[in-house]
Amino acid sequence: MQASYKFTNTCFIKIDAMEEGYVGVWFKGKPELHVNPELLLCEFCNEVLDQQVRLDLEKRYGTIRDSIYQFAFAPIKDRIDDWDE
Amino acid sequence: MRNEYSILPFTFKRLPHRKMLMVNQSGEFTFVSSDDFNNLLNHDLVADNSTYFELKGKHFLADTDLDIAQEMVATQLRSRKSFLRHFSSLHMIVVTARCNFICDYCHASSAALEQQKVDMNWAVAKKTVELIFSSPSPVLKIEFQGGEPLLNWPIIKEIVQYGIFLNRFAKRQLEFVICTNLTLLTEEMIDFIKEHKITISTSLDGPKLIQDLHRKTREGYSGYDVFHSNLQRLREGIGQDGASALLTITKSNLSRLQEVIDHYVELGFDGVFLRALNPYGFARQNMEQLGYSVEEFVGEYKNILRYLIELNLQGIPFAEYYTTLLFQRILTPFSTGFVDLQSPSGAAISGVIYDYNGEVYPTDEARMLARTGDRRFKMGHVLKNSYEELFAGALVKKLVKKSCIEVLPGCASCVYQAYCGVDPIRNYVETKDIVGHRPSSDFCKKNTMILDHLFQLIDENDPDVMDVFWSWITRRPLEEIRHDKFNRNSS
Repeated sequence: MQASYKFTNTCFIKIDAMEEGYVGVWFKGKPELHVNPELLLCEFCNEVLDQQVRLDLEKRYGTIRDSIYQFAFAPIKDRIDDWDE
Repeated sequence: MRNEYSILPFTFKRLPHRKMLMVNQSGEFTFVSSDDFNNLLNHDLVADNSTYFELKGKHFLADTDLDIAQEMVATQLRSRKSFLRHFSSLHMIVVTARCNFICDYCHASSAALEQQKVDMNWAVAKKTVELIFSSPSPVLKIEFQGGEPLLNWPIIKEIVQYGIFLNRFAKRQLEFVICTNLTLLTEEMIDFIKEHKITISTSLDGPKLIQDLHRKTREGYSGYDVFHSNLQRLREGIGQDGASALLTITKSNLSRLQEVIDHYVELGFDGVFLRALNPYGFARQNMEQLGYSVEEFVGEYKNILRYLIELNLQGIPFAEYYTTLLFQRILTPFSTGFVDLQSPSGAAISGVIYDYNGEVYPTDEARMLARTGDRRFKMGHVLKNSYEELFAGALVKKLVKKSCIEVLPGCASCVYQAYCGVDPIRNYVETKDIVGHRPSSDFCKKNTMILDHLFQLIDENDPDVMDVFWSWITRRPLEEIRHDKFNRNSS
């Protein structure tokens, strides 16, 4: 879905669950935008790969990002308590 | 065998020639080859590889010291976001909606000279100043806007004097700015401006023919001629640095920016903000006549940036402020709040605008929207609402919550997230939704294209070009930057 979002300006997009393990994505070029279907497909495939990398990283290391934000914006008092423990 | 390291959060973008740009949470960036990128993800990077040390040093990976690396990134992130610490410091006051000009691109859709009912009165002005001093910010900048603010000069004087009086007890860093076309400036005004160290922000679109093309006086005389002579008088009174100018780029001067810059230099200005036309007020109505595509704007931006670099290398110091801001964010760890480009958005929490009638809006654009009848971004009224009701109300909380770039669709995975910002009011104007739609957003397209170009220049790493950018970032002469570099290289 994230990979499709990038193309919502030029295309109407429909995403449907197919048989188990498969998802179908349908593109329909918006009128007067002259979408090149072959280029669109290539760009979409690359975008899927990039979003998959992000998803994998998020699964493996997402907690690190959360703890960085928590640490960065925690009140100073909480940080001192952390150090004391 | 997998190499043992943790990967710290980052965003990335594919570049030409199998290169990747990676940016971590605190805004540190690096360029790596696609092979190294894949090796990093597959845990195949080995510790004797220079890329490994680069990535470790810039906190893209951590091996034995994950806790320390996380704390380092968190501390850097905290520093970068420290503009949030002080809350609203920029307070814009519209002392009148009247204007002696009727510019084709006027954002504020100004009123005619005889409509004195659109002047701010003392009751509203007094309460506005008191509200401003309720802000916790140690810096309070009061910016007078219009219309043409000099048309309500008595209220400007009252506000300045009352502000200075209140500040005897509040002890803030109090600054005043008047945004004026300069044409109504009198000797008495210049004396007052000098006495109270008020700075002036004016408008300059280029030489006379360009300036008068869209900046028209209601009475039909050349605004440029009066502007020019009053600028000289003002500078004789308050000094060369007391006045800066804002450039509005329309279709008419977009392809003549070199001429515009030359005129800025000729008039003694030392920089310019290349500001694209925003879709508000008269500008929105006149887009056909004034507008241009993002591609056209960025194309000219690149040309003029090249020209400015040449000027600086020829010994004429002249900066482009938007580029400077972005480079400060990319190349330094310092906090750079900028109301129009920050996350969360600066609307209300960094800057706020008080209309002549006492209504309070999070941004000038929200006020302009109200002029067209859409008052959804009205925070309240200075005579009816308390500071807490205005600044901690549901509207401001919603604006903050919906303008965190880190979680917005399209922005959350963008490589430029650490350097960019959110404009929820513009999102609303364009899409009727404050979250907006990035794939169709000109704001997103423009910033992406500009940042693509700046990173290309960083990657090319031409020493002359980078020296010019460092002189802009540090506001130091180019010779000093080069002298320091020479000394560093020699030692």
